[in-house]
Amino acid sequence: MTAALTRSLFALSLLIALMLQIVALPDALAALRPMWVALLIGYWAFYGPNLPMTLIAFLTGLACDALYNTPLGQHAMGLILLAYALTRLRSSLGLFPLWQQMLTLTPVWAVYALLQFWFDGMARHSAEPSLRFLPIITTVLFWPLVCSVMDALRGPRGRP
Amino acid sequence: MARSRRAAQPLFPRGPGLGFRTLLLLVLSFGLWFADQRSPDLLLQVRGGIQWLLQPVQWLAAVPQGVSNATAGVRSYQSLLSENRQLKEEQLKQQARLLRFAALEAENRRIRQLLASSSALEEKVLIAEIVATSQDPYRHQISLNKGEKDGVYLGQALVDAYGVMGQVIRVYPSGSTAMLITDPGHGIPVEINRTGLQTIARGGGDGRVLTLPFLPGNADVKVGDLLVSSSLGGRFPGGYPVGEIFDVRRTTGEHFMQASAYPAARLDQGRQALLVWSQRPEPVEAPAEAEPAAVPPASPPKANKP
Repeated sequence: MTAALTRSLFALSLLIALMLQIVALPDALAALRPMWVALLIGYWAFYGPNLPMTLIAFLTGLACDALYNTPLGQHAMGLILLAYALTRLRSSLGLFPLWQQMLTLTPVWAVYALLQFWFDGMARHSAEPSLRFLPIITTVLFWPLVCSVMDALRGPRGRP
Repeated sequence: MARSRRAAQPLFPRGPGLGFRTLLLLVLSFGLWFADQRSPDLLLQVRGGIQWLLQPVQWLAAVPQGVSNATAGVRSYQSLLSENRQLKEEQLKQQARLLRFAALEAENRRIRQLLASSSALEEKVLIAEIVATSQDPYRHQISLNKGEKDGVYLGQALVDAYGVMGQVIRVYPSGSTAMLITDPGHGIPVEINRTGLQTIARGGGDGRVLTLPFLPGNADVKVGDLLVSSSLGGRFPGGYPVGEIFDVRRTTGEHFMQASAYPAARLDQGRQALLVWSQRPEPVEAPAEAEPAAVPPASPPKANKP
């Protein structure tokens, strides 16, 4: 897969993630909605080519903030930290089997969700705690799925 | 650490390192967050711009819901038709029913008007202020601030919120005197509410008690029976509470028994009383002058008068 195609796939996947993040779901399912944007930023930081992931995380975070109507910068901070952590972890975890990665990355998603919860609390906008922590579980479970789908889309030589 | 840095970054990195960039962006976004948090108007333009850019995403996100809405609309078209027909039938039925109710309502209004006029006739009342009470312990009388000018007449009944208080015995141009039912010279025709037995309750003289003398020996009277006023004497409006029996005495060898009752009205409390116009005020005026004590068997109390 050429670099240009990879970049367009990258942009498209982020847009789809943003869309999935705000698409209307029944209330019971909406509480379990995975953190799609975080998953995709994580995937591209972990497996992607050398992209300026922190900057991209910053811009995507601003987009999330605009979509969710949170104070600008709230999701940005979380995503920047996430991108940084996964860029750092790629060399040590990159060769792990997928299920071990899945388990090892759990604290990363938890920290991301916790940050959002914390910022919500500081903005005096206290959400139901379960709404912040249920997505951690689904995000952990969706990590292998997202990785497999993206790898398949990028073709056999896609991964470095 | 060195290994991971090499793997993550190009061999000869230019510009600031990953950690520094992360820190820079974190500080930048925290600044944004802080500013937005403090004064949301400041970054309104920026937010609006981002939202404008993301409009396609929002449209796309709204597609699934739109599709499901559309299919729901298509599916229920037939059912809408049948539902519409059903509702029309229902509405027709309700309309017919409503017409009947309108007639009933008009009838009800006419009957109510009749009722209201009759009850108004019966219940003409006037609030009178109690301006003085008699200090003589054997004379339970009160002075009222309503007199002839207000249409008060001799023998007019006086009630309060709880029961019958007494009757008017003297009328002045702008005031009147009333005798309370506990006055020893007062008697009131009463009916025992439970059985309908007609009798007379006389004032006990001590200000707290009514006595019912000369009850037949086999009369059905019990402690707790409610006495209500009877309109048989022609002076009091019927049906107002007068008192409650607390004692029934049978004296051996006597033909009659005697009962005692507490008055229902709060005779020694309050500063207002209600003057009641009963239905027949006319016949009272002529004979009342002769006999202020008002009720037929009023002979024994006369002995009490000083």
